[in-house]
Amino acid sequence: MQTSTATCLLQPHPGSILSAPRSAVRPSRSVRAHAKEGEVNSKSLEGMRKFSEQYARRTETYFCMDKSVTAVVIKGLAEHKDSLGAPLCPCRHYDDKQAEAVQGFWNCPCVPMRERKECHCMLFLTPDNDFRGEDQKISYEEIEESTAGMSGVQS
Amino acid sequence: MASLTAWTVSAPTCRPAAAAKPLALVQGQVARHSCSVRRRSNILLAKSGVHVRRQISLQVSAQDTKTEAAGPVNDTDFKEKVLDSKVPVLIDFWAPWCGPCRMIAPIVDELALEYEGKMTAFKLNTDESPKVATDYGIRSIPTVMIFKDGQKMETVIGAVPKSTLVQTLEKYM
Repeated sequence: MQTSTATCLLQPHPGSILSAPRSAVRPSRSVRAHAKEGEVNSKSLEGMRKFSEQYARRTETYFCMDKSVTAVVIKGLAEHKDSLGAPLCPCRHYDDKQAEAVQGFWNCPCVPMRERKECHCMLFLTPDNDFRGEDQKISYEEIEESTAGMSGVQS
Repeated sequence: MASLTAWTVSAPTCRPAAAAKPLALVQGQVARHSCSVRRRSNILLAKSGVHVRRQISLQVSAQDTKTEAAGPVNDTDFKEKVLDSKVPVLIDFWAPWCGPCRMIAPIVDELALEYEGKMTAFKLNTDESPKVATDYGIRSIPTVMIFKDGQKMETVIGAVPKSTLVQTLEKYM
């Protein structure tokens, strides 16, 4: 399949942390077709919401005291999952998003988060962080409410 | 207050620093985390209390009111608005789905008003203007850059407090 060839070409050196399996980086054709700018598939959003809750619990990290920051990031991750096939960090600029999604370093949870619990997107904050809230939970409704009116372009 | 920035400034700044250790001991705190910069900022924050938290929290919600004092700039008009500007220019590089960008945007708007006439501030959407973002090596977002006489003078990475941006700006006033 074409996909696997492309993936192999961009695979990092074996043994590097980057070679950790990061499967399904390419979206299926049908998902891609529906992923218009700023439109997020509700299934992807729910998936990223659940992932964020579970990962926060597992790593003993907390969401930002301002949950709208959390909501925007989760929606951004879902948007990337739809358009790129992987939840690429929405708080970075990339020369080539597709290549980055395949490479995987900045796919959530990114390598700095997995290695040192560093999330510059402020999605997962360590207990000593001054901006962390008390929550490790965020509801689907909270996300929708905080990101209502955002169509991929922040005015 | 400068070291307040430390915790938000991207990962590479977060290294164990020997200098921070005595500070932590003075406060009678045990080093629990590997990032001493963060510890140091904690101590400072403890002194200033919850105030900083509140301030930032308010700033986030303030963005919803959409006071857009700092207008947009893009790949096309970057030269005209920024490089050819007679006064220093502050650029806020942001992306639509970046959470911390929402914290810094209202601060940039405030600065645009406070420094009106002496400095201009713009916001650049890195998704819409990838050329400028790539040319200036933008990686982590939000990033704020200060330009003077067409030259990049400063780069501030992360959702930093207003005081940090003011300090940086003042150098070029």
